[in-house]
Amino acid sequence: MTLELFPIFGVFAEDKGAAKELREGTILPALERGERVVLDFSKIGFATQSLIHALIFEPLYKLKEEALNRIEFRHCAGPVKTIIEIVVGYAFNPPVTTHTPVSELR
Amino acid sequence: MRHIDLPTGLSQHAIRHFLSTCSFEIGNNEDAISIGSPKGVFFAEPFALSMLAAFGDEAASKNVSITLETPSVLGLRYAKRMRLFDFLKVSYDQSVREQEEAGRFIPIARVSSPDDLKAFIAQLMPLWHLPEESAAAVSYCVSELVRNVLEHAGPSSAYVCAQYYEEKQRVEIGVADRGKGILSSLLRNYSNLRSDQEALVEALKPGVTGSKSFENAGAGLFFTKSLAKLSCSYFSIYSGNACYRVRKSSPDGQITLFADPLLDKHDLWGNLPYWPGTVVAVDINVGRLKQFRSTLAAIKQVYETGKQPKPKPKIHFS
Repeated sequence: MTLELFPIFGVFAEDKGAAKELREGTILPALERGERVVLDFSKIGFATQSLIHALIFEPLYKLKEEALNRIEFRHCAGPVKTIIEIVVGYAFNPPVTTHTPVSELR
Repeated sequence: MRHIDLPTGLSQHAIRHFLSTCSFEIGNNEDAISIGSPKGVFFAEPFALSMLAAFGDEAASKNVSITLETPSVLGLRYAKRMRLFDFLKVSYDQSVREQEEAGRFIPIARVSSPDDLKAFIAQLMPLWHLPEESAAAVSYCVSELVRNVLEHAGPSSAYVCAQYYEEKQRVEIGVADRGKGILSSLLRNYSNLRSDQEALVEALKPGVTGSKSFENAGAGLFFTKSLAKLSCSYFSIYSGNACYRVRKSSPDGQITLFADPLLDKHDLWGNLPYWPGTVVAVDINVGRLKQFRSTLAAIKQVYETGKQPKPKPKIHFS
């Protein structure tokens, strides 16, 4: 299936609520059925990391590379492409964060 | 009646002095608070106006009246234009000519829902008259900061405003709330945190979030801090009794982003008067962020630093 995202998100895509609905209602079920999903970013100039995370992180987390192999990211503007690379990057290889008590650094 | 004396400059540069001398916590037995300034306020950056608006709204909800001790205390024309008096609920009768909002400032807005935010962002983009990529960087910060409030602060609204200085090509953004604060929000997932200072440091690391849903990656504050740092500008966050500030980077040197905020050139203060909620101040030098994609690429590099080497998964772009 092909999902045109501009009518949902507009030129600056930041509506996480709509992204969650799309992920839960359409993207994840389609991927779980083994279907291929095309996310068409035509006319979208920018997207927040939060939005891309809300859109694709759960399928990547649950279905791993099987999900990534079935998703095609179409017509991504440069900044959108970079954000997708960041989210996919940490989905498969999370950042290392360690808790540092402030008092111990003094 | 309690009295708050504002210093002359409510700026990120002098943020410690401002925060350490003014307490905006509202006690249960208070019924009136007066605000003054012995020498007058010469300038107030958006974060301070957002703070005052959030404070004013909470005071009104608790039936605490606010009075301005001297009429010139806040630079009336500017405060009126930014709609501060609407939130402080103080009357101001002099006629002040409203200026067209386009291109220079976004007055204080109360954002209480994702729909409010959507509408706010939609009006923000064309107002700046900035190159598309610069405007996107500003909208990006506003979106992430306000969403943090809506998703993590509890029942509080976000109070947001911004100012654009065309000559300096600098946009200043302020977002404040009177919610539960960073420490309380993070304790759900990080029970070892012991202070507001530690909570601020954790919250700025990529991947740290107070939520356990698939909608949160814990990256919004890290991205916003990075955008400010890459544009050689200040970024400050104040919650509970602690404040963290990234100092301005030199425009002549190489700027390196770090996952750990303690590696940035920074200030971290504790024992400040308690702010119930969170305040974020971000300056963006839009002249230095003309290529939003290269800015994002620098952020991407941080995510790739220090990881175990793994083959990169193939992403199907077309």
